[in-house]
Amino acid sequence: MKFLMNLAGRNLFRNKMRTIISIIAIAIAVMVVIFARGLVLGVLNSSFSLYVQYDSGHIRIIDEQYDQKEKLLSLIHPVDGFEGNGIMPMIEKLEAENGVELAIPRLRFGAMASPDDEIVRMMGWGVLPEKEMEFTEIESKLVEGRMVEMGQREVVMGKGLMDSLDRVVGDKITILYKNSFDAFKGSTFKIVGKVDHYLPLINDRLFYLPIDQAQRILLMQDMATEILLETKSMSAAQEIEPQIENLIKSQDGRNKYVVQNWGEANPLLKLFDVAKYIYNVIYILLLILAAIVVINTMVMIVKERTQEIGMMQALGLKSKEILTMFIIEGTFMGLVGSFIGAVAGGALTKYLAVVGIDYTQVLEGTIDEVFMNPMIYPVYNLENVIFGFILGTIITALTCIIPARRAANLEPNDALRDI
Amino acid sequence: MFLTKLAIKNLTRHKKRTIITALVISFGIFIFLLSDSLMIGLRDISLDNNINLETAHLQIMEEDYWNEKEESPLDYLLKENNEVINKIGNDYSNITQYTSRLKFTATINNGQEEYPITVIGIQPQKEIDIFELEEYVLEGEMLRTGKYAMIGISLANMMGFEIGDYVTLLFKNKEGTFNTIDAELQGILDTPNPMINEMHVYVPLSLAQNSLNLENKVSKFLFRLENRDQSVEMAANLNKEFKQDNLKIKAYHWEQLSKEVLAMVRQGNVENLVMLAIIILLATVGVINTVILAALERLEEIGMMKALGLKSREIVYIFVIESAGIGIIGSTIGVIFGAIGVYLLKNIGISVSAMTGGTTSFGMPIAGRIYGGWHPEAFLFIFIFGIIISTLVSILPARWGAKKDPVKAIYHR
Amino acid sequence: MNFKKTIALIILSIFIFSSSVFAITAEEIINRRDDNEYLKQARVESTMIINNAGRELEKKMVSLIEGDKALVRFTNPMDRGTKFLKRDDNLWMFFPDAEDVVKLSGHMLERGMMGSDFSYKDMMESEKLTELYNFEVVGEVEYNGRPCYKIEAIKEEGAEVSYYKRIAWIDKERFIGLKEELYAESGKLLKVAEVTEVKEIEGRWYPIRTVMENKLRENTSTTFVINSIEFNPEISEGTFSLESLQ
Repeated sequence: MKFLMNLAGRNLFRNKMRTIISIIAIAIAVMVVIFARGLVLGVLNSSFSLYVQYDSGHIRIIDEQYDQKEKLLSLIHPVDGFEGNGIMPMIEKLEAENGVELAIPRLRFGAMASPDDEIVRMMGWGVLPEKEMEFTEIESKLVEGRMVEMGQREVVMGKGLMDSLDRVVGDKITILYKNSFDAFKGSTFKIVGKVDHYLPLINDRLFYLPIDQAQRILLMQDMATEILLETKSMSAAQEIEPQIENLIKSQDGRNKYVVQNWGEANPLLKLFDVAKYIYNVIYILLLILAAIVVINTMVMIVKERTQEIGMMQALGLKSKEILTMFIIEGTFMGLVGSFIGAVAGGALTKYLAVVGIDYTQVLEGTIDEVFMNPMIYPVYNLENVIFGFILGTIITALTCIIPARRAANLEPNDALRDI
Repeated sequence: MFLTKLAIKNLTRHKKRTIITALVISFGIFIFLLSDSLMIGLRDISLDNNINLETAHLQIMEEDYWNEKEESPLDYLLKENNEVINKIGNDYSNITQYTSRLKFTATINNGQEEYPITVIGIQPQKEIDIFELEEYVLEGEMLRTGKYAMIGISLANMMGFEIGDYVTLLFKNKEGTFNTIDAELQGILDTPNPMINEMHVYVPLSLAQNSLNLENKVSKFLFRLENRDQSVEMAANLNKEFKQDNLKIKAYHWEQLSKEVLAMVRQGNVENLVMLAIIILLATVGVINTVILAALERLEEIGMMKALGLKSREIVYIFVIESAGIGIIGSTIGVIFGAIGVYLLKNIGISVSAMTGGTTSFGMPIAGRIYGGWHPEAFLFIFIFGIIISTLVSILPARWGAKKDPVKAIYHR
Repeated sequence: MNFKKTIALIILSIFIFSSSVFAITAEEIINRRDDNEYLKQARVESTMIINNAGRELEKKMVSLIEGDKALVRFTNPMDRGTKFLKRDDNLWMFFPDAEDVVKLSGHMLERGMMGSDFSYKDMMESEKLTELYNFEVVGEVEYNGRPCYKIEAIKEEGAEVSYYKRIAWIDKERFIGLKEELYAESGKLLKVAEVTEVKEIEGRWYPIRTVMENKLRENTSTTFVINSIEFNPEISEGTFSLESLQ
């Protein structure tokens, strides 16, 4: 065995060029496969990130009966914490859970204003300003002024809404609404910021206010209409869901809450599942493609060394030994190539996962009003890297076998004769 | 010519290598065509669902109505028997069918709860030709004339309605006077559009008109054309006509009517690009890899050719032609298999339930399958692209190989 | 909240008839009732109990009325500080948490915004009912032990009223409405208002307790109770001004 390994090693070194090129080919294949996966997941995530941010979160916790009344922005089925103890302790406990990156409350209610005999219908979101800005990219959409601050009677509105109300930043606005006891009320707020967002919902209908103010005017102390959770990725959400359900069950005996993952909260997002499936299929095909590249390389190498094989047979090496030697060579190249590819692919993915790919340029002119984020963040996933590495190694090792066997089974004469 | 012949001969000499490399290209092309087809299929479904359930290809309504369409007002209505519309229907041969609808807001009442919804008065017979509502009838049957109604499944579940129950609709007519419709629930719809399932109640147009005292009035006309690509141009033409004749109505094409869906669909294009880039990258790697290894393997041969007097340039030419040949073979095979694959996708499709675990939802047809789309431009594009890439990619490695010293090359062994 | 209508169902037996000899037309009956609807001047303390599918809310208010004008001040804990001012066809609202006065118009009046079954629009209907409906006496019946005229009213063509048909039971002696049924154009009964308690104050009879029931929704009704009423009180100048809202 040791002799064979030695021989294999020397073979590899003898023909450096060939070895290096093969390794590079394997490395690139592995790298592409790893990066592609991360990229695709990133693309999928970003496509649906808007919905995640402004609609369903990755996971959403609501009162059982709220789901149906959601369209009416009902206030009588709120989230009031565990055993009614308020949402803040609940949020803390949720964030402490493994896999939950962020938990935010939202208190959504219908409202209207009537500046000049016209009725402008709006929706108010009571939020925790700091957390909300972490969860969504709303801060980057602030074109004037600032976000609201807790404890202050202020609002931030979309550009479209402000135009229809004929207001500018700094003005006051009296907002009419029904509180949680169905009493018709009005309150005056100061507009401290303007956002310009491509989503019509944000731009034309929405106003942000601090959640404590919303709770005050709606008489919903320590409550929210929903709590949204952010997890690492959309797929992670489904894994964590049972965990969250257990937490809630253990903390609250009232059977009041349902935990929805994004797909349940918004049926539209089922498309995500389908897209993901399609991409998985494509991914497998890509793997096959990469495998073929590697196979191609191996085949050519073996073919080139037919004469060499004949020589070895003539020198007394048995077929099995020759085969083993090739496998060792192949495995070695596979290991090295896959390792390099894995590291390179992983690094690239990780880097871009943080920095993101900006393809606004590409989109220029193709999309006017969008639901899209022109930034893609590939998803970095260690399992993916390891998987790519193992796959590359195995495929390379295996694909030596067949051509090697064929070559090894040749008669020495024929092999030698092949020039 | 001689060189070309030589190149071709080379290809046949190293059949195995030629074929394997060609396969790399074909496979890449195959994947590209399949994924492109699936993406288009998905896109088409989303768009078509919207068109087939909500917007049709083209709508005509008063401009003032368009501006307030969210409120479904009872103002700015059109005459149902409308000379202008009839004329359009006759003049344009690419209109396959058209109908009218009357929309208004109401609350639906089950004796305990009431819920705000939109009532849509339709002409059931014509609707069947234009829209696919009938296909989404989950229970009961499609609407008939008379005091009948169809509602979406979400609404039915929420209010506890079943086929045969009477639903009460409460609304105000133009004078602000309350009126009600008690209609027998004839059909329950399960469409891919959640808004329809939750918010729409369909009744026969005549029932709507009578209850509102708006006989012979409709909110808008909806048209089905031969295919949806005609709508933008058609809308423009019609609007020009309307302007000339000083009419207050305008034509709106489906893209204007379904901005949300479109935005989602446009994203698909980007994902496609990403896929394409990846596939191209891998295929390129495959080709480069092959050429380099081939060059390495054939160093001796190269040396021999040089010794025979061939210049570097000519040697490069041979290699490039060989690669082009491989490209042609690969592209051809890829496109052929791609065509077969797309054909299968288009006609048989992939089962969605296998993907989503059984629940049908937004964008997916009830049968639970996705069908591929036919996109001939993709085929042409990738065929040419495959050849070009293989050719281009081979140049550098070929030059590298051709520069080797002939003596050293022959001595390489 | 149609307090105007219910408050104004006063009996003011202006006419002194002996019971049955005189034939009285439907219009006259309604006119008398209509006349009585226009409170020249009054101060009313009232309670509105809103029952919405089992959930009950109680609102208390104090109202000053002078002809077409009214100032309403809410006194129950939940709504304390909220005020309404009605002048002709305009309605303004003041909320303690708001810094300015809000004017309600058009659409907003259509809704039963306080959550009750009386819409603001009903309250705003200042035109005489006789101009909007065609009335007809269809019988003389007994209701809750009182002899009543039963009057059917169908809306005039083109009239912008909420209810297509109304059937009213009007006390023959006191000329106050004891029951009214409100119908949609389809003939469906939408609401029923019943006066369950009447009282004579300062020589006038009028309804103390009225229940308006929503016939389309189970267990949904609004009850209006007059706790106290003072006719011709002292109302200072400038009471019905926007300033007094603040």
